[in-house]
Amino acid sequence: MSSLSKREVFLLFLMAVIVTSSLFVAFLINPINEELNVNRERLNQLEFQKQQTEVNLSVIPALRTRKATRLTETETAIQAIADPLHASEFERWMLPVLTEYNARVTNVDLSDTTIATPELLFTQVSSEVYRLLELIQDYNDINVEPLQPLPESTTQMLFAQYSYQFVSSFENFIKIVDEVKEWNTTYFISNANYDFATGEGTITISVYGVQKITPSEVLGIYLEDFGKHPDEIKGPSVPAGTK
Amino acid sequence: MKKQDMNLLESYQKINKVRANKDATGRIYIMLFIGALLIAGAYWFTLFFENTALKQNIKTIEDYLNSPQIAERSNEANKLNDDIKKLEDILSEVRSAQNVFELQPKFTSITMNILLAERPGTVRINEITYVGDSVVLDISGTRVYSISDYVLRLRRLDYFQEVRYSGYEFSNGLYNSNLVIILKGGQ
Repeated sequence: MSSLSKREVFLLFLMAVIVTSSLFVAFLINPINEELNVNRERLNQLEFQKQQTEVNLSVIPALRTRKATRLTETETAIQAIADPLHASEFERWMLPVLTEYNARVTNVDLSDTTIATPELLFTQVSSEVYRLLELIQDYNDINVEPLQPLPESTTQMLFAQYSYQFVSSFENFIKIVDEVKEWNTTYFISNANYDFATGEGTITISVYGVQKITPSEVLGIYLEDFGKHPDEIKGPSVPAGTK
Repeated sequence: MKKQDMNLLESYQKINKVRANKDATGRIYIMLFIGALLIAGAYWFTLFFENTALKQNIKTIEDYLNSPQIAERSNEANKLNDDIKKLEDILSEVRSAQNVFELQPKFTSITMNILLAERPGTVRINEITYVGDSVVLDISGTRVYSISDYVLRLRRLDYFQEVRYSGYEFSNGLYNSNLVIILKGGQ
């Protein structure tokens, strides 16, 4: 020590401080700081997750209620659409009606069931618009509302078309048409024809159907004579709820 | 020769003072160094304790989140949310279809009764055909005015969207024509 000058001692001290500090920062402070940052971030994430979880858990009763409401709404809406029916099951809807109104069936055409989107058979008639008319309407303060766009649907459903040709009076033809309408389901008369000269009527029914959330039994079809010996068959009547 | 006494004390004291000064400086540096080490150590300990506290908190939250009860209830909440979303998708699809069905014109006895009730006595309906949204009437009139009379009556009702005809033909003593009646939607 005695051989070192003051300046050398100071430099030695300074060097020792720098080296020690560097080692301290490099091997102790930095690693723990990095770990701290990682842990802080992790803690923030977990706290956010915990907060979310607590919110989620707190709304479980409300979610249960909401699910029940949505289920009821959906089931009510979907019930308005017919169940998928096989052509033979549809016949058990249709034939009793035709029998009830003394229609003699001459020809029946039953299509295969396919997948289709609901087709809107509707022509929107718009009045002619020309410059002079617009000026006159403007002068008379007449506001002409533009035509609303027609609804479209991409919903895929089961679809079939069943065509019945029969001979009956016009009065009965009207009653048969009304019976189909009163089923109040997604069976629509898409085509109909009545020839007054021959008394021959034809109706084509477009049938849309979907599966239900809760599978249900097909109700209201005539099954009384199903599987019986021909001698025992009493003949169908109009199904319940269709009159 | 003048006798000169040797005074080594002064020199000794001077040397001792220099040495003491040097030792004091060295001690100061050492003290400073130790002080700096202590401060740095304290800082490190602060960070260490903070980190330990963070780890403890993380563990507590992880234990909470991973507890079977919470996981079960969390799954229930997720399942409920999923179910609601699925039901809403179904409902949206069904309503979209229903909007189309509701606007679809319906062929009913009301339409046919109106067509019959408004028919002039000089007009006979030969055939009624309904296609999608229109009713086509094949009619015969006994007078030249008969067809336009029937059309005017039907138009006056404002029950149909449009009543069209494109003329008539005289044959076998009757004026034959086809009326195209376009139904309104939603009826």
